[in-house]
Amino acid sequence: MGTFYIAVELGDEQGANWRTLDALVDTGASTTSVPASVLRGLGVRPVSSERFRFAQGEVRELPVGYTWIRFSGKELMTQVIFNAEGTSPLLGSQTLEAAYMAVDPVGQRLIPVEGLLMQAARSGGRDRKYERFQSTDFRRRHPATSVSVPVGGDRRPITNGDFLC
Amino acid sequence: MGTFFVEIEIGDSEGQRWVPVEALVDTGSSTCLLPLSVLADLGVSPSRQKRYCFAQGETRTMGVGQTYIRLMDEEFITDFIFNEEGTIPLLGALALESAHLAVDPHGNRLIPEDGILL
Repeated sequence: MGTFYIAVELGDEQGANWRTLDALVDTGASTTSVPASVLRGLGVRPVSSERFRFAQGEVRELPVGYTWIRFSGKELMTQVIFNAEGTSPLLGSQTLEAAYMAVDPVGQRLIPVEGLLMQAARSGGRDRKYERFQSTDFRRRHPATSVSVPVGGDRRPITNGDFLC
Repeated sequence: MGTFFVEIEIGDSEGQRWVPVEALVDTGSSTCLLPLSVLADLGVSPSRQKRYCFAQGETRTMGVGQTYIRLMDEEFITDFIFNEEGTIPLLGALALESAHLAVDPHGNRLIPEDGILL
């Protein structure tokens, strides 16, 4: 019913050892997310910690690293979140974008899409939309969609890369 | 960065009154989520309670109601989860499926897809 999983192979940082997982295809997650034990078992190392906003509004800092992933005939290096044990692996938007794959909830499949080489049009469109979302005027008109909530006294704006919904 | 928002409209249960909302396009959410005040202001109330698993592994029982959504010129009734205030509106997979829309994180757009009648 709408949501679906696909088999992905997750590699170590050298692309030598691989492990197969079923991952929820999740455009609401900016970054691919895997239980930390799976990544550590492959020898993947965290390189930084980043803040992620969850669907219920909670913001958590989670370790991130980089490793290889294979799905739908593509093989690429991607950023991965070391998530809590027992969580479902999530195939996130950055990875889908890098693989040029769109998500079809009707056919429950990934479909290839063309890349874009229209820098001005593309970044202009995205930034304009995002600036509108972040703008004071937009938040005044649509207060329910405001994402500028205090987190530990820090009012750092939430960026498009922060979601894990 | 892959994730993106689209503007949708949420209607009351008669489809008479509408409010615009920017929602994160989220194929990982089965159902649409809205801060409860958006739904309450439209007179929509939860009709049942359902359990949902969240990305951090937590399972919670949430109120669910039905009302109109307008998405890419299509109007239909779908389920909404009553989420807490300050949370981000999410456009979930069931609504995308109902509207026959695929999600392109590369072009940051929704793509019309054919339905399946096999």
